[in-house]
Amino acid sequence: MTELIIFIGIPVALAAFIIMIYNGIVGRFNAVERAWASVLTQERQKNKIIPAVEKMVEDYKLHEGGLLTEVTKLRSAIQELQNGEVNPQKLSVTEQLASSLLQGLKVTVEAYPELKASDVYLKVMAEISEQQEQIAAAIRIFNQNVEDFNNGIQMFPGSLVNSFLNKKSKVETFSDSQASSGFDYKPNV
Amino acid sequence: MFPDSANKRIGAITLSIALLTFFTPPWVFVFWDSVNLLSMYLSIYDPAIFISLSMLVSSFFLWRFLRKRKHWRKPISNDIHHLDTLLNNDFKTVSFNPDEKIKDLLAKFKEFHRGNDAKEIQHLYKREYQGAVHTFAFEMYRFHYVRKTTESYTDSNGNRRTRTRRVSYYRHGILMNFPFAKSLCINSDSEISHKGEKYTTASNQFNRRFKVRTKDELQTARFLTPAVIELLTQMDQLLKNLNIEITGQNELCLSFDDDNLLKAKQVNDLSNPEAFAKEIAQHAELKTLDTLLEHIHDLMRLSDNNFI
Repeated sequence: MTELIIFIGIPVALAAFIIMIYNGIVGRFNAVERAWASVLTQERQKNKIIPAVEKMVEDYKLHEGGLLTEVTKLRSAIQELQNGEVNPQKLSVTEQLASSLLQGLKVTVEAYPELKASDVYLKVMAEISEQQEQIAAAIRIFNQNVEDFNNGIQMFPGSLVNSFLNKKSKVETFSDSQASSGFDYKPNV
Repeated sequence: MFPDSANKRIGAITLSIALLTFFTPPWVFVFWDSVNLLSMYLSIYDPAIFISLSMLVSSFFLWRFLRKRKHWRKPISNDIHHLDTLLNNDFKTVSFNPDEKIKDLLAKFKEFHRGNDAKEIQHLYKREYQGAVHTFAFEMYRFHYVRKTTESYTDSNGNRRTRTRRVSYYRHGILMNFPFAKSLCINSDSEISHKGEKYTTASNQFNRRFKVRTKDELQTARFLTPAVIELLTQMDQLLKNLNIEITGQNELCLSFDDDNLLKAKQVNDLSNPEAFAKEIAQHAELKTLDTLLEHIHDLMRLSDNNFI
C-alpha cells in the first residue's frame, strides 16, 4: 500500500502541482492582456470628446493655434492602437497628443471668456478630466497585473515551469517617458 | 471635590438636622428608645455593638451610592457627545416601525439574510451629502442579528445534555438611491451568497478581494471602469468586510463591520464639565464617514454621463 502511494500518489500530486502553476501563469498572462485591452478601451473613449471639441472649434471659430490639426492627430493615433498588441510606446504617443490638445484648448479658450463659462466647455473639460483619471487608473491596474505576471514567471517554482512549459517572457510595465524625462535619476532596473 | 451646588445641598441638609435637633430636645429619648427596640428585635443586646454594626452597614450603602453616582456621568456624557456628533453632522433620527423595516430590508437586500434568530434595525439616521457634482440623501443604520447554536455536553453526573447559545452580531451601513447601476452585488464578505452571473474585472487585486454577481454583464462592465475599480479597492481598505448591493430599482445598500463611523473622538466627560462643554462646542468631525461619502460621490461622478 505504501509503495502504491509512493509510486502513484507522488507523481500524481507533482503533476497536479505543475498543472496548477502552468495554469496560474496562463491566467496571469491573460489578466495582463485584459488589463491592456482595458487601457485601450479607455483611450478610445477619447473619441467621445473629439466631436464635441470639433463642434466647439466650429461654433466659436477657434481656428488659431492649430487645434483642428491636434484633433486630427489624436484621432489617427487612437485608431492606430490595436487591441491584441501590447504596445506601451503607441499609447504613450496618444497620451502625449491628448495632453497637447488639452493644453492647446486651455490656452486658446483664455481669449474667449464667453466660451470658458459655457456649458459645453465645462462638460468637455469634465469629460476630459474623467477620461484622464480612467486611463491613469487603467494603467495602474495594467502595471499591477504585469507585476503579478512577472513575479509568477520569475519566482521559483514558477520560473522552472515557465522555462520548460509556458516559455513566456517578462512584460514591460507602462512608463510615462515624458514625465520620466524630467528626472535626472534613472533606476538601474 | 463636589461641585458648588452639591456643597450647598450638603450644607443645607446638615443645617436642617442641627436645627431640628436643637428645637426638638426629646429626640434623644426617641433615638435611644429606637436603638434599644431594634437591637432587641435583632437579638443584639448590647446597644454599642448595634450602633457600630449600623454604622458599618450604612457606610457600605453610602459607599455604593457614591460609587454609582460617580459612574453615572460616563454613560450620560457618552449620550450627550453622541447626540452632539449627530447634530454637528446634520443627522436626523428616522422613526420607523421595527417589524416593517426589517421585513422591507429583507425583501430588498440579501445583506440582511444573516443569523438564524432575532434580527432588528437598532437605529436609523438620515442626512444629505452635497458634493461638487452630485447631492444625495442617505440613511445610516445599525443592524443587529443573532446566531443560535445548540451544543451537547456532559454534565457532572455524566448525563448528556444540550444547551442553546445565542451570539449577537452587528453590521452597519448606508441606504440610498444609486441611479447609475442596478441588479449588482460586489461582496468582500463571503458570508452572503448572491444569485446572478459571475463577473471578474481586469484587476487581479480587485478580483482577489471582491466577488461580483450581476444580472446584466454588459451594464456591469460599463459600471466597473478602471477608476471605479480603484475606488472600490480604496473603500475596501477603509472598511471591514465591505459589501455593495444594488437592487433592480437602483436602491443601494453599502454595508460593513465598522461601528465607528458615527463616533467622534471623545476626550472629556461630565466629571470635568467645563472641558466637556468646550469639547461639545467644537465641531465633531467624522473622518471615516466623510472619506466614505467622498468616495460614494466619486462613484457617482465616475458613473454619470457628462454630456447629459
